[in-house]
Amino acid sequence: MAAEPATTIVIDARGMKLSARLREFWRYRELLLFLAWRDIRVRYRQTFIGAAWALVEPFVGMVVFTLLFSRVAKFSSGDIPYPLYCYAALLVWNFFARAVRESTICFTANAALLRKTYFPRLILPAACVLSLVVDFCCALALFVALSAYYGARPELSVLTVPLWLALAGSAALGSGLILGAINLRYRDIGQTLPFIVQTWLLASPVAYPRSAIPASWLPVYELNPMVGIVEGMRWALLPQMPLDPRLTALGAVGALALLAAGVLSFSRAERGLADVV
Amino acid sequence: MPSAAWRTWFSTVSRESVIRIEGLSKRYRLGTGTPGLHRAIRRLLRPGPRPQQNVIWALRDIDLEVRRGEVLGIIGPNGSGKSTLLKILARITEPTTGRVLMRGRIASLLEVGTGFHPDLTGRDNIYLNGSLLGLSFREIRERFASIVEFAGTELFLDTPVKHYSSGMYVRLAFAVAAHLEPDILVVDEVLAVGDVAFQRKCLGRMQAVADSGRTVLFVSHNLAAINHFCTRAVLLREGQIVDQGEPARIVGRYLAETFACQRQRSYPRDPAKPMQIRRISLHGLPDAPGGVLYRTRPFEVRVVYQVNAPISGSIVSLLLEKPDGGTVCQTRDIDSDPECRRRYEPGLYQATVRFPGNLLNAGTYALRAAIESTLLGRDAFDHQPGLTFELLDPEGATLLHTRGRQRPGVLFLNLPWMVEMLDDGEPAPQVQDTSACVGPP
Repeated sequence: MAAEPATTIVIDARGMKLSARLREFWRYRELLLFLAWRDIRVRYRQTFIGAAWALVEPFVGMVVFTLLFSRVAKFSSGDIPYPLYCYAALLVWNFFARAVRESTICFTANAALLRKTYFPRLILPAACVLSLVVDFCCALALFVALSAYYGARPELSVLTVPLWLALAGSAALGSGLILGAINLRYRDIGQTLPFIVQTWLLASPVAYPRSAIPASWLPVYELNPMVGIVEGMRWALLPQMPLDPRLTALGAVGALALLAAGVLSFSRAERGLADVV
Repeated sequence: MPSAAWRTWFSTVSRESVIRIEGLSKRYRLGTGTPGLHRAIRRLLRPGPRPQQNVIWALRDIDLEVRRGEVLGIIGPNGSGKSTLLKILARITEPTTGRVLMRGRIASLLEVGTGFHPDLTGRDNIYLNGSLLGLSFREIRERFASIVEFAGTELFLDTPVKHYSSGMYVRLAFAVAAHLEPDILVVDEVLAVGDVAFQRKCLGRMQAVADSGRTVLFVSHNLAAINHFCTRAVLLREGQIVDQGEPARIVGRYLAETFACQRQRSYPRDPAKPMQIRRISLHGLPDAPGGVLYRTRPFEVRVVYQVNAPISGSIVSLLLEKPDGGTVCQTRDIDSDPECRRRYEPGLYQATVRFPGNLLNAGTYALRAAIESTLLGRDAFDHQPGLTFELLDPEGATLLHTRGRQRPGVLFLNLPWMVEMLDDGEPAPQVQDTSACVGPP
């Protein structure tokens, strides 16, 4: 005989409470790991250089930015060599940008899965973000090599790297959920996504130091949570960097607020998801 | 978490009920769901009553209760809401109104390739599928060997499934779903893709699931399978439950309503033909309600044909075929009367042929009538598309079948078997001259 089933499932036209949603998310945590692992496998399958692609994007970005902003525009990065200064920011920026992109389109990209199986839909973008952590680690290895080359020795603050990564991941997941929720009904987002990400890059202190921003712009500029997160990552990875606690707080609050807004707006868009993807 | 009102509702649901559906409806909007910019602007410029959107109710006020261990068959014509109902139960889409309570883990097999990722290998996909169904890796690992054995795809385990045939997909998908020991197994018309042997294996497996006290929901157009396998059937039409109960009765009603027009077929008069078929019709003996034909009872075929000009040397024949292409038999009017090849005078004629009961197996058959001429050469000069009909097993006849599978074969003969004991298990006496047994006395 079948054992007394442990779970009781209720399907109600009025939808599910947020707390029930989150509990269910936890129950499916193994699926989260598996989907993340699947994303990694699929991303580099049938590519020639495989996971080395994770290094190409930040490295090329660093070279371009060094030529453009250090040589042509003559931004100063203080005592730290500009390539290193730039790469530390690009590390977290690339993670963030790809996470936003992939979590926005993951619903339309996995339409077949969504139309045919049930699982907490939040798992899908979360797995996207999680899978990019592996790419981040690859790119981080290159940073270690670069630091050694330039003779920069990291300080104890390097232990806080996971914290900044988690904040960047939250901000990316939140933005991806908001954009993804809109993208379900209006595919216009797919068109504007590169533009959004590019503008966001220019609005974050990745290629230039924050000191280059005029003081009168700062109240608006610092509302971008990526300002605090990018600066935080630099503080963690580079020697003799200052940490601005106010900026860190703004970054952390902003990232968590984005995540909350994303989860809420996605919960509303989730109904009927299988009917629109 | 369920509110207090919910808890009260729970308590009213009997312990034995595994699925309880109340007032379930699903509405779809037709056309593009997203109003474009131009329409939004037009709406701003010209305010007024919005045009009524086209909506379709795929399901309407469904109430249904399924008890533990039941095998529920859902039948109905295309577009009657069968798949929508299963999709809601599988939680892929949400209902517009109403609620469902389900006790236990549900595994669903809705379409080919469900939950498979084409770039991953068969092995990886088993894990993916399992975790989609809510299993832990440890639980999947424990069942891995039996899944692979059931699917019979050992050789392809490390091949990306995009190189699989659709049959292999389904085998693997069914194997995973059936071995996860769900409390509720929901199967849509996927088995049709597999070969006959595999379909049979699946039905057997589903029966085993049901026997162990779990519940199976099964949508199929294979009415014979519904008839043999289900303990109860539900007939859906236009999103509503029309009838439910004993599978044989429900299947019979569905067939009667659907194929009522298929009990006979008429052909328009064509004076250019010297001799032509005007109508062919089927009649059960005795006539069952709704014109349903049973395997165990005889039925009659009546062919009405018209002779437009005096003609001789023509033969009227009937061809019985299986829809998959095999011919069961041909019968001709000259079989019983060689003199039948007489000269026909103009007029309307009717030929009646009786097929005995307990001869053909249950299943779908196609019947065609033809007129051939021995004088005009071998070319048939009236060859018309015919009727498709279903022979059903009578109620209670399922005992004659091995559980969950229809007996194979075109014929179903009740042949006498004589069984005698040859050896009582004692040590055999010394060997005798066996030639005495076979030789003439």
